[in-house]
Amino acid sequence: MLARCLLVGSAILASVLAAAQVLGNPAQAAGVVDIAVLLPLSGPNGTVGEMDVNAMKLAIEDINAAGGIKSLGGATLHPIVADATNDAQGAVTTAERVLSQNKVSAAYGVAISSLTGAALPSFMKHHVPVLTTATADSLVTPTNGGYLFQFPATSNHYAQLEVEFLHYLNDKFHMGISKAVILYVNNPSGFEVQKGIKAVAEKGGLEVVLDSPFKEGITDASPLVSKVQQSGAQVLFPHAMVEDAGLLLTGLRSADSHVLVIGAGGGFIWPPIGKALGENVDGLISAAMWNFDSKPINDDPKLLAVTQRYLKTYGTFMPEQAGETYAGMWILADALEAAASTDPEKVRDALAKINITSGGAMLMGPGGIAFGPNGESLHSTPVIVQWQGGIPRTVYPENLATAKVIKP
Amino acid sequence: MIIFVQSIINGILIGGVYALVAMGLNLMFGVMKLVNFAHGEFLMTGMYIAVWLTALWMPSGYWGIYWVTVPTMLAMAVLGCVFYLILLRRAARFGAFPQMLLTFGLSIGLQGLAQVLRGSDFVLQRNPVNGSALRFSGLTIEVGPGIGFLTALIVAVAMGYVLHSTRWGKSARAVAENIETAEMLGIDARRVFVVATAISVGLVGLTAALLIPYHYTYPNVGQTFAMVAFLSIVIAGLGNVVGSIFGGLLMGIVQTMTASYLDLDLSTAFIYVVFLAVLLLRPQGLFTRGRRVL
Repeated sequence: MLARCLLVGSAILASVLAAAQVLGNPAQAAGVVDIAVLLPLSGPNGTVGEMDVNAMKLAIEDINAAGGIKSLGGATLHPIVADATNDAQGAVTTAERVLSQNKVSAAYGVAISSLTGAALPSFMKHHVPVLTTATADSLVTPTNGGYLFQFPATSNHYAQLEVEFLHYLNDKFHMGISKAVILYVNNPSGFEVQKGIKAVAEKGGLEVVLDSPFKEGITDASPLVSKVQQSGAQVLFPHAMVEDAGLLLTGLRSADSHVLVIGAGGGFIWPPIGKALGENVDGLISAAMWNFDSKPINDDPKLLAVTQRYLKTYGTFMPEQAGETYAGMWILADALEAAASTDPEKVRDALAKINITSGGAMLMGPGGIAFGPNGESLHSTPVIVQWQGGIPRTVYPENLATAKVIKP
Repeated sequence: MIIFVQSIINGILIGGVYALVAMGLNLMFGVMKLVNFAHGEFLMTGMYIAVWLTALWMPSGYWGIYWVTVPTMLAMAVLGCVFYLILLRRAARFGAFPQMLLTFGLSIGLQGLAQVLRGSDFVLQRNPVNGSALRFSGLTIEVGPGIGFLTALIVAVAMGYVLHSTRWGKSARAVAENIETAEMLGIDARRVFVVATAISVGLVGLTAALLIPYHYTYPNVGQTFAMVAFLSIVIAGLGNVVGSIFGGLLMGIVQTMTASYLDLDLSTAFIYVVFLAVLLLRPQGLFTRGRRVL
């Protein structure tokens, strides 16, 4: 009797699980392509995930409204959004859960370099390609197995642009700046920015009098400010997220410091810093992987309409992270189009060979989208922005600039 | 020399904030023998309440943003009463461990709630205090943290008075010493606990209102402050409420001196070194003599 009960019970359980698997997996349904979107939606980097999700919604609306993936009979994109949390273990757990419970064709995420690096083995194990905005150079090496595609420029590239811009300012305004300080958050991206700046700065005759990491999430910026003042530097290259950047800038203002700040990282270019500093934000300079008002965007009515729709929908200019994600969704759609298959291996092959020169992905920049052998972006270019009139304007390189740099 | 003095000043200023957070935490521990893991999230809740109040109305003028101090403190004190009466009192029936787990769960719940209600955005209301400072002889004293430090001193004196010279304070000390004997003597321990929780959470409300002029508000903001506050109360001596101010100040000074003379990146790590050293050499706390009760 007991054996029969167990047998019947097991059969019912198996049927329920099978039904749940089919019902819970839209990839099985006709005309839908599942993509995993893994982002930090909670914790200190939750703001990154929010911007990504906002832009993802706009992009998917546009992709599906434009007829979806035509080579798959007009299939629509269906994002499976999951919180990658704010720590490496959380990112791995989320990636494992989403990739093992769903048949996804590709993945997007995990935005933060340390989280992306931690979750990468899961993407490799499940043979799912991941498109990322994480910028650490260490992600685009042969160790990624060909499953990671980084479509913005790398942290190193970004760091080099900061120093190049300092030389430009020195030439243009005869500022005579020769001593620099580098302060950076203690994470992979921070270290790569530091390495990049230091290498280029020293070659260019700039003396780096101090370079020091600091722990993300400071309660007080006064030790950082004291260090900058003690060093006698004329320029500060900080790499920080919003809360630390805000405290640092306020601390410098309190100490009446006149050091030139050339920032890097979301802290210096996302809307919260503008809201918090008010008119005091004007003049602040930072490197950015993308900016909403770069010349190619302003010159293209379709791309301009995207940034304006973001402003109308969410009430702020389209921030760097959001612009990248909008383009990223289009890159995935173009890869699916080229693959004409939902098989993640074929999507991976398509991404490796892709060469995008038109469509929504062009929001990333005029060079289009193509990847090198390790998944590195071949054409993406960072820019330098300066806050003017309460918004970050693109001021460098000159061919992408829409505003003239104001002497800091 | 200027660097040394400036580092001490910076340490004292941030230490004042740590002390304010620590005093509330230590009061709950001293009276109720409860480690409140939700203390940091109460700070975050207070900051959101204060930010919301300033968004509703803020008088013009330099000090305008500080109008929220008393309303936020009172709102948080009421929240503290509710927290005790609805959650802690019930959990107390099952012992100290469930109470502690409850505060841990509450901390996660409050963070999640903040994220859902306000998103992960970083909020800082524009105000003239942010970035302003007093400068003399090459030294800088930031106004926002300076107000926090002065308030911490006043609160420490007031707490000393309340605990040693008022009827409630004497009852609280008796309950902290031995709850059974105190109850036999006619002290209503539950009432003591309600007031202790209200004061503790009210104090983080006060701290929250003092932080918002210069510190961002976001769902995780309480964690870092609460962690240093936990270390401060162990260094001061568990249950030594007034001593918490010295613990907080010491933490602040260690942090800034490490940053100035050793390494920026070690400034947080080094306070754990001090914490471990105190635990090994003087486990009852640096500012506590013998077995101290409040």
